[in-house]
Order: sequence, then C-alpha cells, then structure tokens
Amino acid sequence: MMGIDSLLIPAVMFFALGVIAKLINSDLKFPEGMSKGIGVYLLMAIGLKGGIALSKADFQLAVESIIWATILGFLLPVIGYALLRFRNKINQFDAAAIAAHYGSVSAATFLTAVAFLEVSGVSYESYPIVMMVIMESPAIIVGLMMAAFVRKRLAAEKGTAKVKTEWGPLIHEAFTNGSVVVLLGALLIGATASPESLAKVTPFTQDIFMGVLCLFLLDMGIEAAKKADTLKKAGVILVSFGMIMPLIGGTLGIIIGASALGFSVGGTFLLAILSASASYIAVPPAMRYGVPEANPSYYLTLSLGVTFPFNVVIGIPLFYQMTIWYIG
Amino acid sequence: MSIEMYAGKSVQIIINSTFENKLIKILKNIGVTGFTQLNARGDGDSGVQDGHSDGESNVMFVVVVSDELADTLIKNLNTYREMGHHIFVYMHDAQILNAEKCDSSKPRCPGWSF
Repeated sequence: MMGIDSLLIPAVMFFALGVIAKLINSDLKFPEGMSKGIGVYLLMAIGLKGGIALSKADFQLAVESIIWATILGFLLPVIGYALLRFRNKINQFDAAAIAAHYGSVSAATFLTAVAFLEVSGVSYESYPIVMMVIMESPAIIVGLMMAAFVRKRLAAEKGTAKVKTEWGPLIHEAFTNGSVVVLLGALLIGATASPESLAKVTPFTQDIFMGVLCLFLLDMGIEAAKKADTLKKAGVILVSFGMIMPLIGGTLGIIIGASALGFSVGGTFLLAILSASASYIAVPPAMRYGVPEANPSYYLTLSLGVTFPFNVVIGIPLFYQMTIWYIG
Repeated sequence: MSIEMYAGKSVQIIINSTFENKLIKILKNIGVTGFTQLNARGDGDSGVQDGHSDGESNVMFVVVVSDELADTLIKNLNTYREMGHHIFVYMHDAQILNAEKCDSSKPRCPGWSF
C-alpha cells in the first residue's frame, strides 16, 4: 500500500474530517476531558498488547531496544537544538523547549502508523512499543538541562545572580507523567497476567481499539486545525523545522531499526515514526513549568499543528517506502 | 452603607495549570487562609488555552486578603514572573462582608457571645 492508499484508512480520514469540521466552523466539539480519557484508553490498550507480545520476545533484543531508545531520546533534542540555533534566528529558550518535544514521542502518530500496518497486513515487532515508553522522558531531561545551561550562561554574561533550577520536581515530572505510568503499567500487566485472564479483556482493549483511535484522531484533527491561526506567528523558520526535523528523526530511526536492531520492515517503520514524531501531551506541561522563558504557543503549534499532520499525511507513506527501500 | 465592610484587596492570578500546586504552596506559606480556583480558558501571548491538554490549560485564582498580605503575595509572584513564567496578576480594592475570612482576629458571627 503506498501513496494515496495510505491516506484512505479510517483513522487518517477521521483526522481529515476533524480538520474540515474546524475549517467550515462546525460546532463539533468533544466534551471537556474526553480526549484525555480516550488518550489513557489508547495508551493502556497498546501497552497491554505490547506486554503480551513482549512476554514471548527475545530478552537481549529487548534490552538493546531500550538502550537505543535512550540514545535516541538524548540525541534527537540535541540535533533539534543545533538545527534551531543555526544562524541564531530562534532564541535559546524557545529552541531548548521545542527541541525537547522532538526527542519525545507522539503516541497518536505511532498508533496511526500501527493502524496503517494492520490495514496493510504487515507484521511488526513489539519492541517499538517498549521504545515508545522509554523515549517519553529523556528528551524532557535534555530540554531542561539545555535551558538550565542557557540560563547560567546568560546570568554570567549579564553579571546577574544565578537562577537556581529546582531539579527535584522536574525530574519527578519527567518520569512519573501520566503517559509513562499508564504505558509502563499496562506493559507490565500484559507481560505478567495469565493469558486466560487477558483474553477476557481483549474485547475492550483490542476489538474496539481501531474505532476508538478514529474518535481520537477526529479530535486531533479539530485541534490541529485550531493551530492554523498561530502558524503565521510561528514564522517560516519554525514551520520548516516542524517538517525537516521529522525527516531527520525518521531517517535515523530507519537506520537504527534496520541496521542496529535488525527489525523487520514493520518494526523499523514504527521506530522511524517514533523518532519522527513530536510530543504534544507529556512534554508541553514539563516545558511550561521547567522552561517558563519559552513561548508555549510555538512548541504546541509546531508539534500539533505542523509535525503531527505532516507525519500522518506525508511521514507514514514516506517512511514506509524508505524502510522497504533501505531493508531491500 | 449600613453594614460594616472590611477593606482589603482582591488579587486575581491566571497561570498554566502546571503551576497550580506550586501556587497553592506559595499561598499557604505566606499565610493565605483560603482562595477560590477556576479552570480558565482564553487566548494571549501563550497561545490559545482551551484546556485540551495540560500544556494548554489555565487556572485562575481569586484571593481576597488584607493590604499587607496582598503586598507580600505580589512580591512573591513577581519573582516567578522574573523567572519567565507566563503569569498574569492584577488586583483591585475590595469591600469584604466576611471579614473573618481575611483576618482571623475578626469574629465569624459578630453579635454572638460565647
């Protein structure tokens, strides 16, 4: 399946419906808190699925995946920061906060990619699900560290008193944010619960999963379209970054997935999507609190208004083709 | 006015919900005995805050306190503003019926004797 076909899966079409609804000023709106609730369901379901698969997986490869996920989590924000700071157009705090979003992951993008693979009948390993859990946090730490470094340097330049960064609550937030707890918890439950007891849960976690994902993407479409107004404010450089950075991340993901971890086409493609995606749930609150100097409208507009639609519409078919070409 | 009113300040604070716990701690530390908190939606230099995710949810705190306490609170909040937090604070004079809410030395039910 390639090109336009990849857009003709219900999840992506519902995303488009959300965008259209917003563009025609429809009053379509989810009740308050509903998308947060659906988000928890999706993470729980994918976590359980990953856990079940993981209990039968190869331990050494799982450990290697975790190591590579950590490396990617630390490396991607550094690349992002360097790219944003190129020619000194974006201020350091905005660059640090935006870069952190690109090192972390978007579960919705990942799940859309899973839907794409399942419709195409392509199998995939469970390791990328574990990698998704691991990749949530390191980028937050890197973003906070880069901001702390900038703060220290600016204070030294201006000769003002050093601003102390309160690390405790920030690190706590990075590792205990809701997404990490639900995903990791569900993975462990899936890996340890008895198959018979898990079979009772599958109607809820697997059979209706794709339908719920459609609902979630409908809401994402509405939210992404809302960001269109702020794209102008973000400017050409940031919007271009929102499309260039996923290409760099995705390519890196393909190389690591295929060459370092030896994944199949499905697994490699999923790692590419993970590396290409930008967080819009876990990282924004961490940056709002930890890097208050940065402008929140930039990073949310970029991850939700530019990179998410880019990955769903262009990234998914592109990285899938690139993976097939790379693995051969 | 026939009923005696207590003069104080009403301070309104609008900030991202990630700051909520920190703000409650600040209020308690400086001796504010009560506050009212609302989920707030809006738009401004931080972009649209529509409560869709934690990164774009605002809260509004309404704190009614004595003039001295208002001063301490504003000074405290200003340090966070200087750190770069997107915090919006404004204040106006208030006439308060429930004096005891703002000053614990005032009786809750004037006219009663125990």
